[in-house]
Amino acid sequence: MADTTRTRSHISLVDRSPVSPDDLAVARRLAVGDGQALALLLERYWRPMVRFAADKVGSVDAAEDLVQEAFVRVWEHREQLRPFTSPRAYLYRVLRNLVTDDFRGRRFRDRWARSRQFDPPPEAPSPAMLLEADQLAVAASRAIADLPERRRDVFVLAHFHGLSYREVAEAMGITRRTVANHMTLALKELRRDLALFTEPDSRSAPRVG
Amino acid sequence: MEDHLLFRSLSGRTSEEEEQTVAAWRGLSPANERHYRELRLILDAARRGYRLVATEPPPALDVLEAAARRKLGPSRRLLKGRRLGWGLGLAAVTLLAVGLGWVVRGGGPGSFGIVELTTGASETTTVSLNDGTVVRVAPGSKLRFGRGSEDRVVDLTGRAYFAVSTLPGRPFRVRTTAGELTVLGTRFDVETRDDNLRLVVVEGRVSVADPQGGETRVSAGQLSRVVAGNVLPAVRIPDLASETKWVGRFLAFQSTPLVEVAREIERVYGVRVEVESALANRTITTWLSDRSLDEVIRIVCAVSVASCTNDRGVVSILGS
Repeated sequence: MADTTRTRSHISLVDRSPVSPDDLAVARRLAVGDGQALALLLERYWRPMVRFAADKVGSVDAAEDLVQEAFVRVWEHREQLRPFTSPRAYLYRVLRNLVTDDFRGRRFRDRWARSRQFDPPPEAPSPAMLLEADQLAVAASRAIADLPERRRDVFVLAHFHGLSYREVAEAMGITRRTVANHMTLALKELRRDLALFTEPDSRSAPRVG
Repeated sequence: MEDHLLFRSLSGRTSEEEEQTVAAWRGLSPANERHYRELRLILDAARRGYRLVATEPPPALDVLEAAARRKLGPSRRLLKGRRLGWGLGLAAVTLLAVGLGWVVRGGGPGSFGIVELTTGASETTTVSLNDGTVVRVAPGSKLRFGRGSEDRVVDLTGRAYFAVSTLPGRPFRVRTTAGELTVLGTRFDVETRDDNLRLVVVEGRVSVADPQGGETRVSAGQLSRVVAGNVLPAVRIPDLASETKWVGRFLAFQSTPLVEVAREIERVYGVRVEVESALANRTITTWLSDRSLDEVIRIVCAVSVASCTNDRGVVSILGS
């Protein structure tokens, strides 16, 4: 979907109410076809979903297309949304499936895009400034990128996107126990990879990369 | 101690019992405490290194129309006839006008705060409740309800127009000083002051009970009053539209058939709307306030997956 599609229409569907309904209420409204519920979900989850997808496909444009397609599909299948399903978990599940299909469709796996954490245009300090000021943050980003894909997805969804274990399980089609196991293993690997930063006798600036 | 539990503790997701377990484990040895702090260091650093992309979501209407186009087929445009200039699109109307105030207070068990919404002398506002009910609150009125509460009950002083969502087995109640209304999914207009109440039902049925125990059922197209605390029998009213004129260009549909939607659009916008017979019973759920006719048509057609034409004041809603 081209950018022109998004810039043409200026009609916003959101009629603002002083009180914002919670996600389960929004899911109920979405299931009965309320377009405003869709608008609310777009407002809440568009940016984090684009970031999640961009990490995988290595491009913001491609990520935006995938996320928009995810919302179209969720709307198309809204009657299948169960009342107790987290709409957020459902959205991420659809998005992950789209990313997988997208890779298969391209007939190649961009190992480089997936092995490097996507660096979006910074909104504040430049990467160079970040590198100087926060080597641990940079190292943590690299360590997360090096996690096996499913484990990385669990960690990213739970830690950066705030999904509960139940939501992560729904989004990935796994059990909560598996989510917990992945988290434990991810944290173990991060601790190992970042030991130079966190051990008391290595406070001097470590090598990066 | 599993690291994933420490993670949940650090991100504030543990139960009280789990948090006590973590606290006890931390206190067992300096090594445990150090382990906990190192984990916090790592998680905080990871968060610093993760930024969201600077991107804005597309209008929901784009998504709705993309889905509708897919169903209708690529050759069908959603809106033919008079051209809708893209530049005509308007931003959502802001409802927090001067004089409007709302306060959230701590609520009782089962609620996440009580909301008191008060409109100024010349302000009208619309609020969407957690159960999907939409309320248009008239000037000089107050609406009180539980935010996030599963109880479908509100307190009203003044006047409001309700479009109540249908939840089988869960009636919606409006409490006033003049009496209480019980609703099972409908649209109605109610005005109340002290021990007097005036109710007009637009769609569905409402039960009115006064403080003395008197009760009456009011159907669509009927009016009922409570006078000095006593409910009077319902009477038919000849001109429903004029009774609810105060709500302005406000449309609220709760699983409303398209044929009813068409009648509402006709009433509010003064155009003729024809619905293809095969679509007459297709229902939509949405609400719109202060929109142009073109916007209303686009939204209704996108939500109902129909193709619309607008030709010299006659709107046609057609299927695929």
